[in-house]
Amino acid sequence: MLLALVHLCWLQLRPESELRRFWAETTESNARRAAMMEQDPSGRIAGQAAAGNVLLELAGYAKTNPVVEGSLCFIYYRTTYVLYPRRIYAAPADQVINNGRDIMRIGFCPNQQWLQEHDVRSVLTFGDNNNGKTLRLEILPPRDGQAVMQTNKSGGN
Amino acid sequence: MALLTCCLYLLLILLVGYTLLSAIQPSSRVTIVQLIGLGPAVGAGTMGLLLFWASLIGFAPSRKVLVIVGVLTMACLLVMKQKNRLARINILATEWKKGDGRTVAPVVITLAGLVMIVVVALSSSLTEWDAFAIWGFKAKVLTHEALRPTPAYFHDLTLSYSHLDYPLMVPFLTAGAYAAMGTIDDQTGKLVSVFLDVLLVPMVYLGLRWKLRRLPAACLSAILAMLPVMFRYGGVGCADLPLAMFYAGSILYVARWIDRQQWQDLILAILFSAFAAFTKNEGLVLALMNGAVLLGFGLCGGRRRAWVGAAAFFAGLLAINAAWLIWSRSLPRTHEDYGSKLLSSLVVTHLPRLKEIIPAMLVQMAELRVWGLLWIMAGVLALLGWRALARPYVLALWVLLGLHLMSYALAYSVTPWDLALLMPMTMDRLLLHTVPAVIFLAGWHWAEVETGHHNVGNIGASGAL
Repeated sequence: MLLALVHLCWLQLRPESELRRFWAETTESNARRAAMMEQDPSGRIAGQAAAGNVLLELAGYAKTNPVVEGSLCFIYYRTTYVLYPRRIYAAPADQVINNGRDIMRIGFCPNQQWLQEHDVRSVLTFGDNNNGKTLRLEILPPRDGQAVMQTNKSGGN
Repeated sequence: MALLTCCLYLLLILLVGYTLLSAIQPSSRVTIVQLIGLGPAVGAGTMGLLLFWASLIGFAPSRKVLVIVGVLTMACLLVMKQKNRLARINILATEWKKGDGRTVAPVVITLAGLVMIVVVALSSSLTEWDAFAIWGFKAKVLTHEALRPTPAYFHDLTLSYSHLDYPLMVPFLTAGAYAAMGTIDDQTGKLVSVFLDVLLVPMVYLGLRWKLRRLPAACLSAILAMLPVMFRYGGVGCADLPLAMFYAGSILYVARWIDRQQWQDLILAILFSAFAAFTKNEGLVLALMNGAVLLGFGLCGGRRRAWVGAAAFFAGLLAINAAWLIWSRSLPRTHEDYGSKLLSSLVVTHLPRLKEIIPAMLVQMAELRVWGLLWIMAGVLALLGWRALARPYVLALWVLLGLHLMSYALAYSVTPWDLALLMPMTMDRLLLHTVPAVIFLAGWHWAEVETGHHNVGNIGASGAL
């Protein structure tokens, strides 16, 4: 028992241990924090997006390249979490999304009426250059009658 | 301010737990570890269920709901105090004996590990994928909307990745913290997550102290607190450690019921099993296994009380979780849907996959960087104390551990995901659920080795919880 306990203490002191990782995380520099913020742009997107919901659109390379599935999935999950109760739409509500591949397969491209009905005020474009990783947020111009349109901030069909 | 209100919320959870413990065993004596371990564990499970029930009738978690819970709790405490039914607090379960001074070292190691987990958890927001995509997201939804009418979220298939049908214990407890704080602050809200996670250690210590001296019980608890896998998943905001914590309570009191046949043990076994079932889908399977083992050992013993106990267990489990089972029936299942797959013929056709899964599980158990010597130590202690197998509660726990591992192996066999990708990603987290059983077995076998050498302090002997 003592051997097991001593071994665990030794494991935690090794450079690659979880404890060391924890220590590095808690004492990390502001520069590293800023770099991590850059990796997770969801907070920035939520801040910059207009008051309504957001449409996630794929462009160029990102429509087909399986290499970006992971980062697409992260952007969708993370932005969904950060934006709530606003929504980011990547498909109609009856389409199943379990991973980035599903978003690519659906290739959602709604018309103006749909955007209006779902109070979409910004479009987040993922992958609009050759490396397929760039994010671009575009605020849609106000539509006629938007001021009186009923908003649907908590999502729905 | 947010931190203060979040702490007040945790205090309320502790009070709810203490009230329930006093109600389950009036005028009993509880130790400090029971007060800070068992009390909050029972309180957290109860609070999660209360918030769920309130939401079902149209009240999302709010300060008003929490104040009502607080007032009702205080009223119950006052009534119990007047009737002299409150549990009294003892510092120690048994007298401090010669040699117990050495317990300080493992206690310090345990506290150091837990403090580190708490500090790191509170210094970052939700970054673990499961934490924000599943549990954190649900907590936000539940804070915003009551479950009546059902929020659009629960039927939106574009959010299927967040597992619309997963149980809501952890999200409701987090939503309760957001309600107390008056804002959605997921960094401070992690206090709830880390609170639930670290409770595993006192729960396991209680189970060990039932049969073991203070020093070895503290050493085994320190081993748990220092496991790399505890650091990996402690305080990240997932439901795995809360499930392990509730499961620890359930198997401890199932074992005590099998050993002593006392009603308060059965009540706690029912409560913890119900809490586990409301924490993760695996918890429901584990709760049913607890019931099956209670029934099996009742049938073997041939005692009428044991049969009645098993029937009461299933009735209690069903009653507590009925609302969740009925409400969640209409939720869309994900493509994983292990429940349906495990009950279909798919299990039989996929049995050959076990040839790949079982060796992978064994390799994972031997992974020293994740588990240290835990699994090896447990095996050695079981061999040394093999005579403990004659005790029904030890045998019952072995059966439970075997069923637990088998159910996970079968779940892997029917998974729609690529096993080569899924197993390395999830195996440590799933085996973490079995750790309370492994440590209890290690301790209870060691207690058998010690029998004859020491007069084992038995907190159960006094009838205390």
